[in-house]
Amino acid sequence: MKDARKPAGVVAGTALSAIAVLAAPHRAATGPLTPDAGGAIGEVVVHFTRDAGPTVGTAYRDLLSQLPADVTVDVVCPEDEDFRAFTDRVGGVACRVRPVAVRHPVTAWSRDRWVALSPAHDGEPVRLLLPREEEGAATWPARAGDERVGEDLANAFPDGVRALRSHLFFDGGDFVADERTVLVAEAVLRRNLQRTVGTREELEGVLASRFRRRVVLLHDVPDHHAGMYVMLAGGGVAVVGDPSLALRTLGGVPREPLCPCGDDFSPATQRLFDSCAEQCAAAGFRVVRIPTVAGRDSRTFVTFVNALLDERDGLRTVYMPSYANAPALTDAAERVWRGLGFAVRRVDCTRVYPEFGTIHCLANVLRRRA
Amino acid sequence: MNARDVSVVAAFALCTFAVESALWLPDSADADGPADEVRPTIAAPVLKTSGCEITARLVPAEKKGDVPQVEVTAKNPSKTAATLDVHLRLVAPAPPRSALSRVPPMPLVVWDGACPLTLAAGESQTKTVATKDGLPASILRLELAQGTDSVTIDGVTVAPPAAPTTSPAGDRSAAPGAASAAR
Repeated sequence: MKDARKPAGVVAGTALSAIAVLAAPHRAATGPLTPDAGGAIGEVVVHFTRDAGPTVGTAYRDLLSQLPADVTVDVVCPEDEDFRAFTDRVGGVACRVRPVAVRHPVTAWSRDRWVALSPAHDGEPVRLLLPREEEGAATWPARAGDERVGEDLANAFPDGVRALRSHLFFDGGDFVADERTVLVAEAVLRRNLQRTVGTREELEGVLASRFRRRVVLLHDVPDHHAGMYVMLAGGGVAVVGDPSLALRTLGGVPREPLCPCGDDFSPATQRLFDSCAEQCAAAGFRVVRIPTVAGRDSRTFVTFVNALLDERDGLRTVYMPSYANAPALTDAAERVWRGLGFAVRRVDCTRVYPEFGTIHCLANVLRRRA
Repeated sequence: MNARDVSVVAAFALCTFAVESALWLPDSADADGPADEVRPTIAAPVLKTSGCEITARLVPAEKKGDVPQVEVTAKNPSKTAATLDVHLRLVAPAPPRSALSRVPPMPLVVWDGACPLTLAAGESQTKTVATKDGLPASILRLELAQGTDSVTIDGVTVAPPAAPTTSPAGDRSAAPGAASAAR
């Protein structure tokens, strides 16, 4: 008996360890960055406040009224009254809508608050990767509230959502991803180099490791969120904005500027968009250009790539921003998306774009289904 | 099996469990990895360019009539001389244009200047560049650029240093304007 005691102990200990390892590991595992293209939209998060209603109400109504019934829309709002105002504005919709009353101020912009990391295994929670802090939070109470939204969602849906604070500075809109690649706006390097990372290479490594995607760090591109001037459409296609195409579509510089600050059709700005197209091509994408007008403030964009993409039952759909004051551009952009095989659902962003973003910036996809 | 046998088996099982768990569990359970631990910011950003290392800080005006100065310290640890044309910019955050805006407007460049440097191999130099009067008292960003390389030093200010306050333990508050990225 004595000879068997030690091996028996080792075997028992190993068995216990195996049980512990098998039971523990997958709960915390994270998968890749949820892409902008590929799969069906399962769950979307939007923010709403009563004072933002006149600005974003039409865009939300257009989006939600066209989303399929199996999509869940989580509405982050400061108070219950805000949610009632939201449902009044949106009206009857097929998709499931549920409130997340957070009891603190928020802005209307969901996209920049977090990026979703898909679960590594079915049935596990989505991880929301939150930026280190929100730019402007010190002087902007609603932006300070935005900083808490990822954790608010995790608290509201403890079985389905976890929040994880990154050590990096970023906005969610700085990233555009498909199933293989993530394009990263130049601002992410500027905000982190020699602040959170030592070198560009270190940043690329951290992002690749966290997102489990090939990372393309863009440079010499428009100084805005990537989702304002480029979208990855899936299947190796990058749709990149093109002011010259807008100029041709409009038949020249419009007498009445589309951007309140004035339109920017300068060669210098055109070069930035072209530079993005060249980098996408160099990364192996087939590049398709689409009309875009940039404002002189580098913030206001009449953009058609700031869209939500959905793919289900063999049908690809784009929820594309549209502009009542730019019907020719909207029609031209719709033709581009149709040419790529997408059914186009227009979302009227006429009141939204002067605030520096459109529907992709307002609605953040929390979950996709393969 | 008597009680002693059971104790020996249990002791070996416990030791094995402890060792194997320590070896296996961290990798599997710590799926978030160390990359996303909130780490401190880099305290003193360094512009590494052309084999040289450049740091800078904004020195507030000491007395009335003076202007704030940017103090640039460059080190050339390489074995070849280097000629640098360092560009300096002070950038102030623009206030939100509208409470509904997605992002603040483009920040405002409130001053820019140049700091040409010629450094022999192994040489270090410190230069000061005068800025201008009337810079906003808000927190500024100091940007250093040389060619396509650049870094940003956040949280600098032209506010004069606070009167030294000595805590019972003798600590002194850090002087504003130091090249620090603390946020």
